[in-house]
Amino acid sequence: MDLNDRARDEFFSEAQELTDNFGRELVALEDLGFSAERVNSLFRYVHTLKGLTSLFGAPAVTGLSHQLESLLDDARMGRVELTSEIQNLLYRSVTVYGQLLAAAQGGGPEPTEELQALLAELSGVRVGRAGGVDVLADLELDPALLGVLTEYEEHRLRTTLGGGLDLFRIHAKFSLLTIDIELEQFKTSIRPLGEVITYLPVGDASEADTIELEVLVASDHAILELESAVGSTSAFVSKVERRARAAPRTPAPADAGVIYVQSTSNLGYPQAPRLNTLTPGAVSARPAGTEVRIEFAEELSGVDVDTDQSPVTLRASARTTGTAHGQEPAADVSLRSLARTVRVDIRKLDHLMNIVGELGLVRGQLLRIASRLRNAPATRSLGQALDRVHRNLERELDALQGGVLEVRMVPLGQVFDKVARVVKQASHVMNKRMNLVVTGAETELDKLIVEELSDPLLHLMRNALDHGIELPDVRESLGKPATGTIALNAYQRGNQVVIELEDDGHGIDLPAVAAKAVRLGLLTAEEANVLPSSGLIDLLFLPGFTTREQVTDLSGRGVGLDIVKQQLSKLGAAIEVSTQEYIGTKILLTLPVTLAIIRVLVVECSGESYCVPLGQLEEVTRLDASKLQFLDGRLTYALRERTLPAVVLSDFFAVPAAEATDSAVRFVVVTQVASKRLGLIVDAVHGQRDIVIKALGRSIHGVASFAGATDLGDGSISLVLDVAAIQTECLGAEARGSRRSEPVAPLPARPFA
Amino acid sequence: MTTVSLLESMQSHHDGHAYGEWLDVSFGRGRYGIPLAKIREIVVPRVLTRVPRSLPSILGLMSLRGRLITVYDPSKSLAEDTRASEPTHVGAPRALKAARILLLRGAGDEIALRATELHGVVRIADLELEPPTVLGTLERPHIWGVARHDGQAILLLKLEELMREIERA
Repeated sequence: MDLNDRARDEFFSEAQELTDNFGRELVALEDLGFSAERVNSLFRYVHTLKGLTSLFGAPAVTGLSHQLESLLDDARMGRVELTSEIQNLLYRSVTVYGQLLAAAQGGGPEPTEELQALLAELSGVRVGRAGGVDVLADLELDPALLGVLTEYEEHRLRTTLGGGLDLFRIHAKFSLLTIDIELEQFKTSIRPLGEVITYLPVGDASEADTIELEVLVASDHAILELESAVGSTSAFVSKVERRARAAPRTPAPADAGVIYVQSTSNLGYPQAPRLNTLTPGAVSARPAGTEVRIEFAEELSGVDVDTDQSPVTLRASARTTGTAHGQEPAADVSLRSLARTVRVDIRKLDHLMNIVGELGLVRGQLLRIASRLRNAPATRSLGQALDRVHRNLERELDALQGGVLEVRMVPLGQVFDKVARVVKQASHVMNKRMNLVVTGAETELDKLIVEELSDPLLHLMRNALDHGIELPDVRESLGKPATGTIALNAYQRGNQVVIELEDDGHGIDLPAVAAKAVRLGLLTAEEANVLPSSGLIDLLFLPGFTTREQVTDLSGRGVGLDIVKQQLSKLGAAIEVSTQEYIGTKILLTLPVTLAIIRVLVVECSGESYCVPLGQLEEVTRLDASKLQFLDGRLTYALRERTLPAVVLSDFFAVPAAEATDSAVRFVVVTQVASKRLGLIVDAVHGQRDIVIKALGRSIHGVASFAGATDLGDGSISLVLDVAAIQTECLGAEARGSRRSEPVAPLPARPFA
Repeated sequence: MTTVSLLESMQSHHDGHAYGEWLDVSFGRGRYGIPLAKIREIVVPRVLTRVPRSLPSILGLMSLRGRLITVYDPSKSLAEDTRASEPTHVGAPRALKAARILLLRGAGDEIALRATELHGVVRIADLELEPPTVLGTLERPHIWGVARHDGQAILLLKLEELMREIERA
């Protein structure tokens, strides 16, 4: 890979990350509500993306970013309200971003139409805004004053006035030496009555040791109350009146007792660059009445906790985050990246893992040499020394292996976030109301699994939304809350991770499934009547099976669950579904923590060795041929008075069985994935070991039975069984379907030894 | 795919099969030519691990310096009499002495063909060439041409097409 390729890769990975972050923030915005900081983050992501793409020449992405940037800028300044329509536009943007990036990377068509439509709608929002009513225009306030307000202050002004508060100006005089104390008292006295929008220094410095401030306060209290709250003779309160709509502009009638010189305003509200923060000491060092700007972050955050701090200026953020509860820390304090992480191509980790595996093989060879040396009298001490070195090597190798494995682990949140975004967007489109409750997002899994998980998980989530959650009025008529709930939960159990997906929708219509199966000729009516619900659910995973007559945008095309199952079993995952009509559906996915190194039991069948992942192994027992029995055409084994479905592995593989001798002992390897059990009958058991699992070539990839292969250390390759797939084939509805023509586990050709 | 192998596969795509040197091998009883540039390495057969339920043309898996290699037997796709090729699985480990495993280059996956016998390298300049149409009208996309060398007919193969046929079989 040359430098340009690498830079390009970096670009795409960074752009993708920004898009992901944007999507995540969007979900947070919807879940946790509006906050200036959140909108600001959205703005930042889009802004960075715009810069990045213009650098790398992806004009479509840049164009979209530009539009979004303008919209979000309006939103964070309160000029535009983030309605659910606009949020939907933002969700769509994330999708379009993904498509655009994929297209730029050469992996898909340009979503030209969708992009044009989106751009048109985005600019529509902005045009619509321009026609809106501006509360500020109605104020009897000097436009020059409005001009010096920061965007954030302007936003607060709009918000408070929009909320029906009145605006007051308080003209106060403070001593330069004690301004910090005085201001503190001042704001404490104002706080119960209203919100301080801004402080602006005014006056002509008539007294050298004082500073005059014009304070804008939004309050719903009467002017007298404010006056008595301020309580000082050096402060004057006046109310800023609102003009009647469309009335000609007239000077505000000044309240009695207010000393306010209109002409100073132009002097006092300079359009010059302002300092962000100012300590009292700094104030005293300057001549009063110059371009002094005083902002007290504490004050602001204390007053309006719900809107967080200003998005634009860097205020005393350390203090702000320290005092305001529930606020997110400002992320833009420093240009230096806070993330001490490195992005690494997963292939590099695979490569490292392979090397670790090869080192393990070398270690095995060393061990053999050591034992040979030890066994010869002449070299015994040399052998023992090598043994010690070998033990050290083993320990370090274990640590190395653990380290590499740990690097591969990423939180499931990565995929949960993506899925959450898409599903939220979908719920807008479908007019369904839904709460998404995500727990256990911090549960870690191998990066490769997390990546592969996103498609099947997304599919299941969409199903839950589309087929599960009912429309609000339907839900209400059933006595359920109008807003449905989809819960996504993950936790680790041993060396497996369980993901639960639960909805409180109307459940799977099992009678409809049965009827469809009969119509498709998969079952006879009699069979459908006696098939347990788990059997009916299994039918849903057959290719082309859907109960939906109507195809929606999201799901119901009948291609899906079979693919989901395929994708999941490739990961060594098992899927279990339980459902109850009108109550909901629960789907349980059981996944291995990592695919890279697994502990296996090596078994032998017809002269070949196979690996059974220990995570899917329950126990191994000697075969007692008298306990084998055919029940309903299936081979079963009576294990401690319980019936265990079983299969002779050589029959399943359709390979010739090993030569039988009278003394040969065979074994039952009891596998368990989720709640399904299956006994594999094998010729021999060769013990456990850690293996580095290698992917199979593409023409073997399609063979459902094998999850991969591994080098056993003596140069021979052993296949790793895909227990979930074998179970599915031996136990599932598909096996039932095919049972009529040819038995999956035919009668053994010879009596069991 | 590394830049090098990508380049090579592109070259082979564009240059057709205008390779100077061909490896003269037997698959089953027939003689075939494979562009030498397409072969990365030739190794003696080793124990192969059988893959149950896979394509009949897959002989098995082998390990070479830690790499997992899928070994194919092209003779079925080439309509060869396969009696000459004996199984080399663990169950029947008698490998043919003359057989060789040809590791292919630039195919993305690690794949190899098992040849029954190697005869040597021939230069295209030394061959008498005939178009594939001399074999009749039957469409055989994997055959590039027919060459005669020392009185023997050699079918020159298009490797990509051959692999496609094998993976379909």
